[in-house]
Amino acid sequence: MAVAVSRQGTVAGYGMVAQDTVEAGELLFAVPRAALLSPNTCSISALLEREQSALQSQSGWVPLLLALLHELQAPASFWNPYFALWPDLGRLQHPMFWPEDERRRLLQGTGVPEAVEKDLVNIGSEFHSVVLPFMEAHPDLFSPRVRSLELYQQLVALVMAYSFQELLEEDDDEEKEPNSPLMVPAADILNHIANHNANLEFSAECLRMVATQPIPKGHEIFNTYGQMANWQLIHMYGFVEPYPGNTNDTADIQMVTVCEAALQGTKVEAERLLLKERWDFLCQLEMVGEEGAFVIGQEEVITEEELLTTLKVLCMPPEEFREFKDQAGWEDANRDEDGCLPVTDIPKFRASWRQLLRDSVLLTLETYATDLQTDQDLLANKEVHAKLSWREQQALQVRYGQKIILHHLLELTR
Amino acid sequence: MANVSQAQRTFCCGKHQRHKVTQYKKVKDSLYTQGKRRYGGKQSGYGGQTKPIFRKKAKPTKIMLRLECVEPNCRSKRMLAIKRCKHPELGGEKRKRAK
Repeated sequence: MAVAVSRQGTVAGYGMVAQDTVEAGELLFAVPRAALLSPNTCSISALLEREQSALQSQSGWVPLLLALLHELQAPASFWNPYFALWPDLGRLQHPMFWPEDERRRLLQGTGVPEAVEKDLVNIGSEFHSVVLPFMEAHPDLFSPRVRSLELYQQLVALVMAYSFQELLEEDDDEEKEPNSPLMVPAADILNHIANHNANLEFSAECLRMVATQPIPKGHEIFNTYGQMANWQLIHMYGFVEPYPGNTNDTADIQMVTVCEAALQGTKVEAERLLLKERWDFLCQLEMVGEEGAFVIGQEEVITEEELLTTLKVLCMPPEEFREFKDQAGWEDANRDEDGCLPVTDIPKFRASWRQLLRDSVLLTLETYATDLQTDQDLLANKEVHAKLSWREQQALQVRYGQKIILHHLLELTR
Repeated sequence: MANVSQAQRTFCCGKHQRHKVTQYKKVKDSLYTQGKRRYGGKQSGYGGQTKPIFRKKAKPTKIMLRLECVEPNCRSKRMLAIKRCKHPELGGEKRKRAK
């Protein structure tokens, strides 16, 4: 057997360890389709299929959650051995289970409290409007002990952290309905790091966990959960990768913050009106939106087209804007190197762009409760750091990683 | 390599109009960008994208072109898929026919 489940030598809880040296491309294990737990494979699949329109919701996760709720209370569920390996549902680490004030205080500015609050509202509303009525309508399939909002929330966190989804096709301009998540026993035991050495592949008869790098004997096998920033890891999975391990870490600059920074530079009403016109135009171009953010990675700007267009449109002289608006970008035939904006290009920007970006970063840094130095001090002082609670340590890593990226931008826009 | 001219005449506004042709830029592979690119939508959180299952691409994908009407009052955009080709080139030199 090439792999073994272990609590030893893994980053957290259970993990998988290579029993022998593994080569890149080698099959680690395969999971037959019959082992998957999804609305289609569970023992109430016919009912869920029949009722699917009643089970529609914004999340799209209700059928899977009902499948889990049913199988958990079924005395002889096929998946009982799988459930035995689950983490303790009462001990999940996601911020959605932290006390509200702690979550807001520790993660202020990171985007996590807002995301969690939205989740909690949606979880509550879907439970009460769709899930509970369904369970009460089929009482023989859902014993009273599973008709619990608390359990539902725990299962949502479990689905966030353990489920899998096929990646969406990138061919279409339209956003396709995402495939619904499903549970893949064995595969979900693998932990994640940025520099992973395995991934899960789809094939007709089974799902295959394949090595993507050579793995020495005794080393942990790491799947990838995607190119995840620490704020997303803590939100969805309840853990972070400590600095500097997470090379996928990012910081967000809210799009409205850039507008605000530009607004700061206006002195008269006429200028403010013109700014509004430029902003509305960017909205029309679908480059910006009220809820959106520019995403900055460690080496490159992820949302490069949106940021470049925004800086250009907000900084161009009024006559140029009038012309630009009429021609709607017909002139920009010389877009070289589309799809890539390394942060090292930022010092080459014209002064007006650098200034606007800089002001936006400064406004963003103000949204955090503390500055970079404070977090740096906490990390540097081993004694103080060791006394922090697990949550405090994790939140520190989320804040710190984002602030490092933002401070780097400050240097690049000097 | 497939050559596509940068300005193509096709039907719009009731007649054949010139259209600016650009290659539709694929969203990057990153799951992360799928989310935040589209205004912090559903990609993280309840209902969002979870651990990926990868499909191996057996054949090269379709190339999506974006046609934009140059008529200033119209400027309508539409997508056009052309047959698979690994190296699409916009406006490159016309290849000479082999003799």
